[in-house]
Amino acid sequence: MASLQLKKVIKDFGPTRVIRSVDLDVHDGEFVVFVGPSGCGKSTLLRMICGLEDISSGELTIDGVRANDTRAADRGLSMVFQSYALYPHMSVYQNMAFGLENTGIAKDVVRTKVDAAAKLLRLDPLLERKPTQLSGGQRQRVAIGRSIVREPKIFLFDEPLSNLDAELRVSMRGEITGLHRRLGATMIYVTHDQVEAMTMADKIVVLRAGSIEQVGSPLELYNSPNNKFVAGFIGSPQMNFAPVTAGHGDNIVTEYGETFELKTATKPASGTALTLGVRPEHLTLEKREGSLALPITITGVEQLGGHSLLYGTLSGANASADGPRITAQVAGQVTTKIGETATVYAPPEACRLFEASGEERAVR
Amino acid sequence: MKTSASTPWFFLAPNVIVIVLFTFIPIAINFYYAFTGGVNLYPTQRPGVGVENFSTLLECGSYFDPSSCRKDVFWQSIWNTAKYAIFQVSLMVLFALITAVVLNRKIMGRGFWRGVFFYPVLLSPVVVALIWKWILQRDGLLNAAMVAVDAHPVLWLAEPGWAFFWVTFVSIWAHMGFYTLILLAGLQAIPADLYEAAQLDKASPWRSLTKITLPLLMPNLLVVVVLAMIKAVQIFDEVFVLTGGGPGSATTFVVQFIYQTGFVEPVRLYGIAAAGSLMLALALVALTLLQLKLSNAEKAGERVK
Ligand SMILES: Nc1ncnc2c1ncn2[C@@H]1O[C@H](COP(=O)(O)OP(=O)(O)OP(=O)(O)O)[C@@H](O)[C@H]1O
Ligand SMILES: [Mg+2]
Repeated sequence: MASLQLKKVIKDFGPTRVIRSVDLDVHDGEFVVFVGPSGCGKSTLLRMICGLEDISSGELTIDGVRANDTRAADRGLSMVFQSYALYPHMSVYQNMAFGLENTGIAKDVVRTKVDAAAKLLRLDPLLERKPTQLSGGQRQRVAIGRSIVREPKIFLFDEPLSNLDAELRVSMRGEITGLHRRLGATMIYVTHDQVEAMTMADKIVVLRAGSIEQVGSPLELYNSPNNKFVAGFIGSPQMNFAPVTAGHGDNIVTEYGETFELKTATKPASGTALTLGVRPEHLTLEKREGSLALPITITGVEQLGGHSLLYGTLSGANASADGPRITAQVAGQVTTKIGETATVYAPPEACRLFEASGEERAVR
Repeated sequence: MKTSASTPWFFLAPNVIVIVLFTFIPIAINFYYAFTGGVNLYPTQRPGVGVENFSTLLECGSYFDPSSCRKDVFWQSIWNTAKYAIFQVSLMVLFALITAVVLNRKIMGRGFWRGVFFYPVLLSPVVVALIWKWILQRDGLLNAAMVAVDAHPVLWLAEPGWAFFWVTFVSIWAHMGFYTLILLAGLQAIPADLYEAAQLDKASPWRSLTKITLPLLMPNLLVVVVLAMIKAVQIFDEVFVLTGGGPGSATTFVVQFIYQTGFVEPVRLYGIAAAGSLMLALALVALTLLQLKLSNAEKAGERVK
């Protein structure tokens, strides 16, 4: 069990900077999830932490001790690879025992530890099999088992579930969080799936293009995203965005001319371009006092029984066919048809505002 | 479109004709010669002698002492070939393996070194032999260098032990690159993340090599060993140019014996040569079956284990 800090960590591959000055604190026993779009540097950051990639500049400390130059084998971390990286010529038992045997531990101790891990992961009937004779989920468990037997200070996972089908993913998700609870170990988990991030993390780290956009608990990120990127990345279906302009006082003016009051701390100058953001699940079909009305032309309807998803484009006074797309998730079942127009209402407390340019920071 | 049954044959014909003309017919003729005797080349003038050619070749006081055999050079060549095959193949595969493992690392000028080791493979065997003959002959480069450092020149190709050594050495030099390349391909097929996992598993470089690289390379290694064996048993051209089989019969191998018996000696014993080549073929068939068996066992192992 251990804590870990990254201080101004940078990674350059030749002339390309892949990680741009990352600062991060991982506390003892925390489940931290790195999330971000493909190519943002999640794997690279993880590989730097475990020592498979060296750190161009900045400092990595584990339990307060600088570990930049510690060899991967000596950092006391373990990694579950996206590809599992099981040794194909070894049995499940040998795969799990290899790391212990390398350290010259007595055979019977190795057996006890491997058996314990196998039991924990329900691998005991499979110990004599080769990896090729296992299902995806079983291989996944072997890869995790290989980590567990070594009793690492920190577990690292690189998109461990991305090769599994949707159903198995959900159950493996549960197994990994269960494991985290039982072992109480520090875990860092990489994914590009925000649902995984939301459901598993104590702390989510949202990365974009090698920089941290925001760090926080799942609900912090959901409720108060720092910027438009985080707002769009966290939550499913994605947050709706529509361009608006700052009016006088606390007013904003929508594209189709409606004026609406949204209090902001910074009060952008009148005429500033802003982006309005509102989550699909906060939109309703019933008009409520003080809500912002969003007229949409329906382009798709998904009836899911318990709730329905309406897809449309923002229409209204100066409507264009390629206006901003709006998704509304409404309770129950609807009778709306494609091609019809409808109005969805956004309660003011659910509306976010972002700068329309630069870093697109949240202003509300 | 409907294809008639003969269409495939139309496309296969050129190949089939060439193979029949230059492989199957010669094999059939070889059998005929092996069971007929005399010194005449024309088939109808050759009397049938049954297995006499074979018994002549096999007539021996002790197979371990070629001089007690009726065809002493034949048995000398067999023992030479066996000795050569064992030394050449084991040393060559070992060096090829070491070279491949080294070249698989991220070393400086990797492409250049790969080229260096593969280059001799591109040379014609005769050219290889001539190059080394210039180096090794009585007044060759090596002796010139030895004289320059005040050492006594050695008759590298005229002393049996040295001649055998250099024949083995030169053939390793000439063919190693090919096997290195096969092993290199095998090494590169091993996923890099296995080594990363091994690194995190605290495996020392030596244990990575013995517990991960070698087991995963084993199928390629087996293929390489058997291929090299098959080539070694057939050794002829380089050695023929380099030493001519000498001194005496110190570097005479089976193929050279067959060639000399059939086409060089004043009395051309086609029957004996044909019988010798059938026996050589038998050895090659055995090796090939071994290779097939090994690679099948490998596949079966994959399925069962
Ligand atoms: N060895 C390398 N040399 C040069 N560039 C690299 C190297 N490895 C990764 N990169 C680049 O670094 C960036 C981050 O890669 P990384 O693998 O960390 O992305 P990721 O966030 O894990 O993406 P994914 O979700 O697709 O796995 C990418 O733009 C990639 O092209
Ligand atoms: Mg990745």
